[in-house]
Amino acid sequence: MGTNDNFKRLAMSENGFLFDPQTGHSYTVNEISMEILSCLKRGMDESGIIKHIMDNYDVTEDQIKRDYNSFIVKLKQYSLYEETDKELAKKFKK
Amino acid sequence: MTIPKELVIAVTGLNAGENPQPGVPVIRSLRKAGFTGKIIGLVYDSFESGIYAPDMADEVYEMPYPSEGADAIMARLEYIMTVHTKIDVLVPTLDSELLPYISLENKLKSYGIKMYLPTREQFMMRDKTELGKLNENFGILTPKVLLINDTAQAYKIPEKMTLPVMVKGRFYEAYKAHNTEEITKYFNSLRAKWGLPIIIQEFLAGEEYNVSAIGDGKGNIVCSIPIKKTVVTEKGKGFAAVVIKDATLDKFTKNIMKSLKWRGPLELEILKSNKDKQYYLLEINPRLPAWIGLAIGAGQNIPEILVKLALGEKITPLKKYTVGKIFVRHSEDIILDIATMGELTSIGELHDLRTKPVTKRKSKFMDNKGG
Repeated sequence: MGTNDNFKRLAMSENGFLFDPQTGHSYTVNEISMEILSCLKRGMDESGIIKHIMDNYDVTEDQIKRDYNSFIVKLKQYSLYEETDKELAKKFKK
Repeated sequence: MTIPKELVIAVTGLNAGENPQPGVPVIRSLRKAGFTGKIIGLVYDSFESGIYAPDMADEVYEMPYPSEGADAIMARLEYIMTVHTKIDVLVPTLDSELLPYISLENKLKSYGIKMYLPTREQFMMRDKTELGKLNENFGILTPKVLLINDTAQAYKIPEKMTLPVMVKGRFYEAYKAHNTEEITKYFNSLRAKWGLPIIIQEFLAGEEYNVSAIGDGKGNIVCSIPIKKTVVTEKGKGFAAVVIKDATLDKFTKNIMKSLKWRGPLELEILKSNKDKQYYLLEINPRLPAWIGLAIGAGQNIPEILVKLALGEKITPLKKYTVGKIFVRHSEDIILDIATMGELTSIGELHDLRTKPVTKRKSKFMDNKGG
């Protein structure tokens, strides 16, 4: 997992409300983002998360890849996630 | 153990309007703690809205302003105690009255009035003009500060500090200034209101946090609640906030309390810098904050603990609290006859406020005019 796994401390409610107990910030996310976040918290990697969502929702691989990437960008933007060099290298190889 | 109902507790600072003071949530906290005895409000202005709020103080007395000095305060308290009621515990809640009450602590004790306040030395150490010394003496990070006494010095600020800077009054108010024109403008307005020196503080971009705590005077924390204000008014007053938990912030708070050996309540204003992610101490307010009602929601009744400490009770330090509790401030109109307010204005006191709420009183003028 990343060098910064701050997303793990987020408290999640069923309706997509997230609360960061350390900073006091709160966020709202949609159903797919909630699913991605739950998977990330369980320690799943990108390919596992994409497969999991494709198995449970009526979405194409392209759609869910776009959603996954844009969600990761948001997490980074709010300092809630940072990939390790190894993860970045793996991504770059792809 | 609940506070014995035979005791009489005096609380100051009952304004709950645009500029809310801690008195109203302090009284609410004591009531929520099960205290059914007499509470008296010590007020400076008949427009302090908490005077008229339901189930607050039993009696209210107008006090001389703190600027009139400790003797004037003492004379008024002697009148209240001689003519009307004893006072067992007094909880001052405003910055401006702390110094007179600190100087009266021993005298009031001889009258049976107990308080739990910082010492004069501690009070002076947290003065905005002295804050830099906490960095020098204890290694507590604080923004760089310059003190200026005239506009010529204001024009030299850009040579000494990167703009923008914060221009702060000695007691209240702070403005962000981007150039020397703005610095001189705020210098003049703050000098007229709060006197000299004017404090020029390095501007640090980041997130602000507040901590309300009580220190035992030996360097330990008796209770403490950290929050993040989520709605802030133009004057910087928090109208919504959430309780948080951050181990680094806790460590920073512990270091301050240990270094100062603070006795009594305080509110820390702390900034987490965007640049270096370090915590910086912005201010120490030597009293409970106006948001202290949130502490009960989080599981720590800080005003109740303060009163118990004043009474000499030993308190086991409270470590636990509930993260994620929030408050949202709500203001409401209280409707009453102006003649009731007039009673306070003319004779300086109001009685039986809990048994006969002002909203149900039929106060009339003698000539039946005025409705």
